[in-house]
Amino acid sequence: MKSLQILILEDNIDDAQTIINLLSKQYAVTLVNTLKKAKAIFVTSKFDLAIVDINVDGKLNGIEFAKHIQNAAKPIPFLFLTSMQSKTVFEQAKLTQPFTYLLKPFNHLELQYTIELAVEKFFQQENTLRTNKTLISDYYILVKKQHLICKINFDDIEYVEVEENYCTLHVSNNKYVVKKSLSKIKEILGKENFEQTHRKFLINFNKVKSINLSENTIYLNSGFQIAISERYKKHLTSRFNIIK
Amino acid sequence: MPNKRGLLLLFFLISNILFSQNKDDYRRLIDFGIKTCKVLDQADYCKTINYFKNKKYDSCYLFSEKAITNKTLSPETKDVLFYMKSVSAVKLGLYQNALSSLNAISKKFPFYQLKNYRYGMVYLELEKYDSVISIYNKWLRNNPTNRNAQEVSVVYHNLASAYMLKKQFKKSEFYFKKVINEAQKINNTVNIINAKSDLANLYYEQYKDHLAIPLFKEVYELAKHDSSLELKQNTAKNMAVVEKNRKHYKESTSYYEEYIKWKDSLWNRDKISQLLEKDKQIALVKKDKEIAIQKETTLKQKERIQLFIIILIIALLFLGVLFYLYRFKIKQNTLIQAQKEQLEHLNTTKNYLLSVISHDLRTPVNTIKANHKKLSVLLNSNLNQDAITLNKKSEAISESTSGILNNILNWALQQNNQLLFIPENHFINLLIVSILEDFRSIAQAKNISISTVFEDSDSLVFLDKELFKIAFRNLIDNAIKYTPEGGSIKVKTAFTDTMCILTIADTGQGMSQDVLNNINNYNILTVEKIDRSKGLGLGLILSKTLLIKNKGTFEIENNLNKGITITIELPIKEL
Repeated sequence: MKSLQILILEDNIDDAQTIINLLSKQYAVTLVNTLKKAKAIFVTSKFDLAIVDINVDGKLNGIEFAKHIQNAAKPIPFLFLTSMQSKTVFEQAKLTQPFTYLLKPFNHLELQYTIELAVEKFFQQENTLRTNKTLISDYYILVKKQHLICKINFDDIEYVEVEENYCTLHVSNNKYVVKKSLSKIKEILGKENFEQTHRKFLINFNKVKSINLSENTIYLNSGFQIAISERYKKHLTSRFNIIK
Repeated sequence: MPNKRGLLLLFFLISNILFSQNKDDYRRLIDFGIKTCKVLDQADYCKTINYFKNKKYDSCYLFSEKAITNKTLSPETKDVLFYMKSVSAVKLGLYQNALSSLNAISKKFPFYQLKNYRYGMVYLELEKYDSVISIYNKWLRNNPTNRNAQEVSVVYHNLASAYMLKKQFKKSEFYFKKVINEAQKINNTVNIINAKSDLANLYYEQYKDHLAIPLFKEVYELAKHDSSLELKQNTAKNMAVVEKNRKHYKESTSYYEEYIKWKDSLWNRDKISQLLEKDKQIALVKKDKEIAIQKETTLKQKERIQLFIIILIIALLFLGVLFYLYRFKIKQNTLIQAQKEQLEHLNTTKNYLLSVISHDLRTPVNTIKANHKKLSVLLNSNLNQDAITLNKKSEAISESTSGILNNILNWALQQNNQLLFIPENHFINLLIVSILEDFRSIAQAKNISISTVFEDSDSLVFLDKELFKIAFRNLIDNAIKYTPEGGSIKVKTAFTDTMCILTIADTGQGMSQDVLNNINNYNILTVEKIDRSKGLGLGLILSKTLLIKNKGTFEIENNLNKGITITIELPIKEL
C-alpha cells in the first residue's frame, strides 16, 4: 500500500500547521510556501493531490499554480483553500477546472470531504469515495479504509480473491475489500498481467515465483499459495508457452 | 345623244372597281420585295414595300419616288419600285405618271403580266384605246392558263369597252359576250347583270333597240331579285331612260319613281349607316370620355390613398418615436428608482453593520482587552489556576466574536451579491456530521446532547457546500446558545421525491410570536425588517438568506412543550 502523496502550497504558518496536523498521520505531505518552490518540486516529485491556498505572498499565486498543474503533462487533482468567500477572488480560480474549494477554518471531516470531492471531480467519477466506493484510475485504484484513502497500484496487487460480489485485493500484507464482481475487476486490471487460475482467484503474473502443475498450486514471491483449478489450467499453461 | 351615253357608261366604271389583283404574282412580288429589303437594308426601299403591302398608297408613292433616286439600287429592285409607284399613281388618279413609271420598268421585270395588266388599265383611263387593245391582247396571249376568272372578266370587259369607245362594235360585242360567259361560268349574278347591262348599252349605242331593250328588261328583272340597291337603282334608271327615249312616258315615270325610291332607300341606307356610325362614334367618344374621367378619378383616389398611407406611416413613426422616448424615460426612471432603493438599502445595511460592530463586537473585544490585563496581573502573581480559568473565558469570547465577524463579512458579501455560489451534488449527511464535529466540545461543556437521524445516507442534495455550512453552523450555534444545560438538539433528514427536509429541533426557550412572524413572513429578510431590540441576530437572517439562495425554504415553529423546530427544505436536483 502506498499512502497518497499530497503537495501543500500555503504561506501562512499556522494554517499550514493545521493542515499538516490533520493529514500527516495518514498521508505523505509535502509543504511549500512559495509559487517558485511549488513549481520546482512539482517537476521533481510525483504527487497524487495538491492543496493550494489561493492567496500566497499577497498575490493570487495559488491560482497561478493551479493553472500550472492543469496544463502539466500529467495533471493531478487539486483543491483551493481560502479564508474569504468572495466572488472577486474566485473569478479567476473558477477558470481552473475541475474547481473545488474549502473555506477556512475547517475541521478534519470537512477537509476529508473536500479532498474526496476534488479527486472524484478530477477522475469524473463522482459519488465514489464519499460513499466508500472504489475510484478507478488507469494505473491504480483508490479505496477507503476507515477514513483513509488508500492508493493501490495495479502492479502491487499480488492476487485477488473473489467472494460473491466482493473482491479482496491482496497487497503485500494488506487486504482491501472492493465491491466489484469478478468480471468487473478482470476488466479493470486487464489481461496483460492478470490471469484467472481458479473460480475464486486472479493472480498477478509478475508476482509468481513458481508453478507446480502436479500440485495444482502457484507459489507467489510473497509466499502465498494459490490453487489452480482444472478448468483454467490449460489456458494458464498455454500462456506460459507464450512467455517462453 | 350625249346625255344617254354618259348615263349608260356607268357600268364601265363599276367593272373597273371590281378589278381584283393577280393574286399569285402579286404575292410573289411582295415576297420578292421583302426579301430584297432584308438583303439591301435600305430604309426608303423597305418603307415603300411596307406601305405597298399595307395598301397605304400615298406614302408608298412618296417613298418609291424617293427610293428610286438611289443610284446604288440594282435594276430588279428599281423595277419593283417603279411598279409600285405606278400602282400607287393609279390609285391616286395620276395616270400619266403611272404610265411613265410603267415605261421605266425594264424588260427583265419578271412580273410582266402584272405590268401588262396595269398598262391596260392606265391606257383605258388615258383613253388610248389602241394601246389598251394591244396590251390586253398581249396579256391574253401571254397568259393562256392559270387565269383568274375575275381578272379575265376585267380584261375582257376593258377590251370590249375599248372597242366600243373606238366604235368597233362587233369586237366590242364579242368581248362583252365573253364577259357574260365568264360571269355565267362562276354564276356571279352581279357580274352577269353588269355584263349584260354593258352589252345592252352597246346595242343601244348602235340603235339596235330590239336587242337592247329586252336585255335591259332582263337585267332590270334580274336586279329586282338582287339585294344590291345600287344595281336596282341603276337598272331602273336605265329602264326609265330607255322608256323615255321610246316616248313611253308613263312607264318611264314609273321607272323613274322606282329609281328615286331605290335612290332614296340607298341614300337612307347610307344615311342610316352613317348615322349609326356617327352614333357609334359619339358613343365611343362618350365612352372614352367616361373612361378618361374614370381613370382620372382612380388616379386621384390612388393619390389620395397614397397620401393617406404616407401620413399614416409618418404618424406611426412619430408615435413609435414618442413611445420609444417614453419607454426610455420610464426605464431611466425605474433605473434611477432601483438605484435609489439599492443605495438606501446599502446605506441601511451599512448602518446596521455599524450598529452590530458597535454593540456585538465592541463589548466582547473590550472584555478580551480587560481579561488580558487581568491575565498579566494574575501571571505576575503566579496565580496560574486563575489565569487558566480566565484564559478559557477569553477563548470562548474570542470564538463567538470570530463567529460574529465571519457573519458580518458574509452578510456584507451577500448584500453586495459578492458571495461565491456554485451549487453541486453533495451528501448532506456528511456535511452535517462534519459541522457538528466542531460543536461537540461546546455541547459537551453545556451537557447538551446532539443527535442525528438520517433517513437515507446516500441521497444527494443540490446546494453550495460552503453557503450551506455557514447557514447550518449558525443555526446549531444558536440552538446551543439558547438551549439550557442538559437539553438536547435533534437533527434529522428526510426525503421526498424532489426535496430534502432537514429539521433542527432544540429544547431551548423558544421564540416570541412576533419574532417568529418576523422571520417566517419574509422571503428575503432585510435589516429594515428586523427589530434588533427583539433579539433577532444577524446569524438567523444570514442563515435564512443563504438557504433561500440555495433554492430552499426556511420555517421556524415553537415546539409544543419546549424550544423551537427549524424546518428547511432543499431541492435534491437542480431546479
